Amino acid sequence: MTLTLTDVCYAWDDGNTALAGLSASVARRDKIVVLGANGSGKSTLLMLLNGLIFPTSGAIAYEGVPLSKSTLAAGTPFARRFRSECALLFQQPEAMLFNPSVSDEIAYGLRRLALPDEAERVAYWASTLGLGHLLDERPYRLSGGEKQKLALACVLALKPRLLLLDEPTANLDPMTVAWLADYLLDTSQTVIIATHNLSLAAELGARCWILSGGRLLFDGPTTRALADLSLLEAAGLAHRHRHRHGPRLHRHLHGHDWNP
Amino acid sequence: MSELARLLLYLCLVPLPTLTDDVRLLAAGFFMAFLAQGKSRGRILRRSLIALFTFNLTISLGVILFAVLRSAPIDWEWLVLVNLRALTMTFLVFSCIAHVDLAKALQRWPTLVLLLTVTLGQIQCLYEILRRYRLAQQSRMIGPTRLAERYRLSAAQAMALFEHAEAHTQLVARAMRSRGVFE
Repeated sequence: MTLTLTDVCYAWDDGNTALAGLSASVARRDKIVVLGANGSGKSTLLMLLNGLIFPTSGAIAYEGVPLSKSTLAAGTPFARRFRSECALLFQQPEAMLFNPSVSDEIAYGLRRLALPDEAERVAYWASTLGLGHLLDERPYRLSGGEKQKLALACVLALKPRLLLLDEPTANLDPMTVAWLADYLLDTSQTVIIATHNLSLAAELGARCWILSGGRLLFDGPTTRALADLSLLEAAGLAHRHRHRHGPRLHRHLHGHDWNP
Repeated sequence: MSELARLLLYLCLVPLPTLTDDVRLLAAGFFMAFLAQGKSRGRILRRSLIALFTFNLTISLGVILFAVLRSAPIDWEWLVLVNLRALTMTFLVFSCIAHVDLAKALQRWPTLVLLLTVTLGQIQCLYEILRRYRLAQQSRMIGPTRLAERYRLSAAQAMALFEHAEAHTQLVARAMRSRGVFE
């Protein structure tokens, strides 16, 4: 197993529970879509899996090694290995951009983690994501969509074995979203993607976790989750309201960007 | 001239106006600095005057008022000297901002560049939020706002910005850790 979560609970400093009793395992090459309404704990879960925060109780292990402050202390061999093998795309891309130019930004992780082919990887990911003409530009001056692409390039350039993506399609144009869906379909990396975009969920990953109020409501095939409207309703992803089918106005349960 | 040399030159020039009390010498120095800015001299002067106007006017009027109330003579030469000194120093700072690429000047010290970029990114982010607050406020206001209401809104915005800055800083630190900064 790549990742093992055992009864993971997490509470913020103010005492609010973000995640409660979460147990699951992730095998190599799994593609998991984490679905949930706003505030369901998706981003917190990804930060826990990236070893940036640690469970209040329970444990997370990466290839058998528990993720804790001591195992991930700066400079330890495991921390170095984990940071080069596990990369997180943050929900707010501007948080990830702290270098003076776009090319430096993409190269940064490669340099820090002493990964090979720096120049080739920078050129490849910049041109693949349409940033080739912005290589000397200041990252904080880019538009929202360009920042998202740059943050994605920074993460993908590392070729991590475990890819954690928090709302990767936010701010992206349809062409880049389609490219990302294709990339995720072809890649051999283990991928965990948090989203509330139901229409893309099945394309982004075959396996699905549904979170609601910090609890894991469902762990199984994405197609089965998307076919279960009552499950989606319980997770706040589908709802009843007045709805028009041609001239007929009626009320029934449905998802906005997706319907079974 | 390299960016670092330019930065060092500006750092040496900025305190010079404090070393002289001769108005004519200071005026000559300001004029030289003004001419040296090339095409951007007008823009830099305008920015400097806008930045100084309220503060310098308040101080100058305060000095004049104080002299009048005490029936003392107004020291016009001193007033001109102080205003010109402040203008010259502000002008040099804005010239430095306009002409020196700090990231390039400090490229020998990567940690400094990193800190500088994080700071600039944070400023840009907060500036953008403040701009959106103001636009959102404008879009929901009918007619001019009363002064008390403006104070209340400004205080709320400052509080929100402070909280956002705190949360953003924590997030940036996590992103840096995630990308191996501390390894």
